[in-house]
Parts: sequence; C-alpha cells; structure tokens
Amino acid sequence: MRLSSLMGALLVLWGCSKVNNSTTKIFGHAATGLQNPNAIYHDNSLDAIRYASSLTGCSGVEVDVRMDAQGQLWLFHDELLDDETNLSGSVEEMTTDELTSGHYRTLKKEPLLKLDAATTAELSQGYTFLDLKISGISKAQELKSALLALDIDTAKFALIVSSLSYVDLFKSDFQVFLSINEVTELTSELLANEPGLRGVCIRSANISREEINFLKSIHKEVICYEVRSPKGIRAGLIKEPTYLLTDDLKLTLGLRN
Amino acid sequence: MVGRNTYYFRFWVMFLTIFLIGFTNKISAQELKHRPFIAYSFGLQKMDFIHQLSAGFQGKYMRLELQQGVGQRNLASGVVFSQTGIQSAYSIQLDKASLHPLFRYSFGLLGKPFGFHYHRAELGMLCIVEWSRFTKIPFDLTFSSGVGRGLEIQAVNNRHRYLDYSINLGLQYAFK
Repeated sequence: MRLSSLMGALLVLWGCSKVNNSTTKIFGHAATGLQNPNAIYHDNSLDAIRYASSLTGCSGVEVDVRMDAQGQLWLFHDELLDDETNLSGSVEEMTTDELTSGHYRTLKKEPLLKLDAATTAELSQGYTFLDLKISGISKAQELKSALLALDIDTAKFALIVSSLSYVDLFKSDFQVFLSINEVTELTSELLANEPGLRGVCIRSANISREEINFLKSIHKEVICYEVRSPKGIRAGLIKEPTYLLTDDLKLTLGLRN
Repeated sequence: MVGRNTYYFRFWVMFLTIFLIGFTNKISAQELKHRPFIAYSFGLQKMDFIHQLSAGFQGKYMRLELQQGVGQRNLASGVVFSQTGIQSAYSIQLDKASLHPLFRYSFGLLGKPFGFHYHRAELGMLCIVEWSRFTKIPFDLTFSSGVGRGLEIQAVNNRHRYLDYSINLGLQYAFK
C-alpha cells in the first residue's frame, strides 16, 4: 500500500515536471531588444551585444546594418539619426568621421557602432543575423563588397534582406534569409527555385504554427520577430520557429525555462 | 433595560464596550516614534514585481528598516529573485502623516536560468499615513518611491550598471 502510494506520488510529481523540449533558438532583436524601456543598453550598441551574449540561453543577436556615404558599415536601426542620436540626417548621407562622433541620447551615451573587424570578432562569440538596410540595388553591390572585405565567417553570420533581388545578389557568398510581411508572398515556385534561400524572416503575429511547420518540412528555416509582451512571447514560443528575435531577452529566456 | 440578561443584551453591551475602548484609544492615540514596527509592501522595481517584508525601529528623527523581499523578474517570466536590503530614513512628523527622505541599499539574487546577483542603491521618499490611531490595530499606510543605481554582476568581469527606480505601497504595524 505504502509502495503504491509512493509510486503514485512520484508519478504525479513526474507528471508535473516542466520539460523544456523547445528547439527554438532565442536571439536578441537589435541586441537586447528594440525600443525596450527595460533594456540596460541602447539597441545595436556594443554594450548591448556584450550583454545579450552573456545571458545564458541566448544564442546570439540580430543587428541592423547600414552603409555610410564613404562605404563603411554601421549598426543602426532607424532611417533617421535625429530621434535617437546627437546627429541629424541619415547614416547613408553621413561621413565616417561624422558618425564616429555620434552617440545615442541615453544616460550612458553609447557611441554608434561601426561594423569593423573588432565588432565582427565580438559578434562571433555567438551567432549573428545582419539585417541589411539597403537603399537600392546599386548600393547593395557596394554593401556586399564591404561585407566581403570584413571576411566574416559565414558559419556564424547570416543576412536578412528585404527583396528577392538582394537574395540573388548575396546568396552565392552568404547565408540569406528573406524578410517578408505576409506568408502569401511565398509562392511555391519561389521556395522550390531558391535553394540559396535559407529561410524567411516574418513578424510572429503574421505566421501560424502550421505555416512554420510547413516551411520546416521543406527545409526552410523561420525567423520570427516583434515579440515583446509576455503574451506575444508565449505565442511566439508555442509556434516553435527556428529562431525567435525577441525584444525582451530576459523575459523570453525566463518564459522558455 | 438594566438587569436584562438576554443573548442580544449581552451582545449589545459587548459591542458598545469594544466600540468605546476603541474610541477612547483614538483620543489617546499612539505617537509614531520610539517604537518598533513590522511592515509589508508590494511594489515595482523597474519592471519587476516585489513583495517585501520588513522590520525596523522608528525613532524621533530616524527610521531604520531591514527588508527581505521576493519578486518576479520581468512580469510573468517565472524568474524569481530574492532581495535583502537595509533602509535608513530621516523623519519629518506631520499631523497625521510623516515624511521620510530615505536611502536604501539592497542585495539581490536572480534565479535560474540567470543565477547572478545585483546591488542597488536608491534615494527616495517614504510617506506614512496613519490609517488607524487605535492602539489595538495601529496600522499605517506606507507609500515610497525612489531613484537610484543598479549594478548587475554576472561574472567578475561582466558588470552592468543601470538606472533603477521603484514604487511601493504597503502596510505597517507599529508596536506600542
């Protein structure tokens, strides 16, 4: 009788145990989250990248890449510098010297981060998605040359681009993800004829678990982003995309564990 | 009416007695000084919920408090933390309330999957309002808020400083 009671209790306890079988890899969106008031550091800053990399369970970061007027690469999200930094205008029209003097309007005044050898070495601590903010196909070729000059390890870096023409341009040298707004943009023809396309990047709210499973079944990886609230993060985790770019790293890691 | 020994009569006498004792004590109310107290508060530290129990001593001009809290990091994350703190405050007595400019230092430990600890130092203001002047139930409402600095230590060479702030609502029981 005692033995059966003990076995019963153990069975109940075992049944209650929380097992984390999720295969989704957690990444920091723009390092530690975009427009996250709880983040210690500004997005796309070196401190934010280091902070995200140091968190247990974080597989890496996604950062936004823009090219300045002199062909140098910078990590910056917005189209204009005015709202977030002490500079005015866009990264694309600024010189390297001007951007070097720039910093974010935060208490810590994190400097704008240039994507150079030192930064790529820092990013190589984990896996990195480079979200390319390209202002035209002519600039895309320059951007590709700048990336190739950095000699980045393609096993540790992947690109996210916003159109198929960019996929064609970058796929020979890099792992490429296509950023889409709706799943309907993905035609079967596109998926079948783009072996160089590693996967897609889409807002978590715009894709269902079934659609993710379908893409996985044809060997395409799925990056989901724009998850910030506990509800949104839970929904994102339940769908089990290949990668989840979260705007609140600690919350996501806590929820997953 | 005098001399009736019914159930309702005895109940009524008991009620009036309790009421009058309470009323009398309200007139000779306690003073919020030179007395120990215990308190509970619920608050937000950045985006973290915290429940905190504390015990301390209220002097005429100073107030000292030891705090122990547990909380949940980043709302609903399931990551809990434990925090121990000490708070000292100057006391400014008003008629039915008191104001306490405070300094608070806390040490905390964040649970799995992170498992690192942090320090926080905060300057702020505590306001205590007498909710009841009855000596039998001398509860006071507390409200405190502050701004300070946090230091998160993940490893020896991995430290992160940040702006921290808190807002707390609570209840205090002061011993006579």
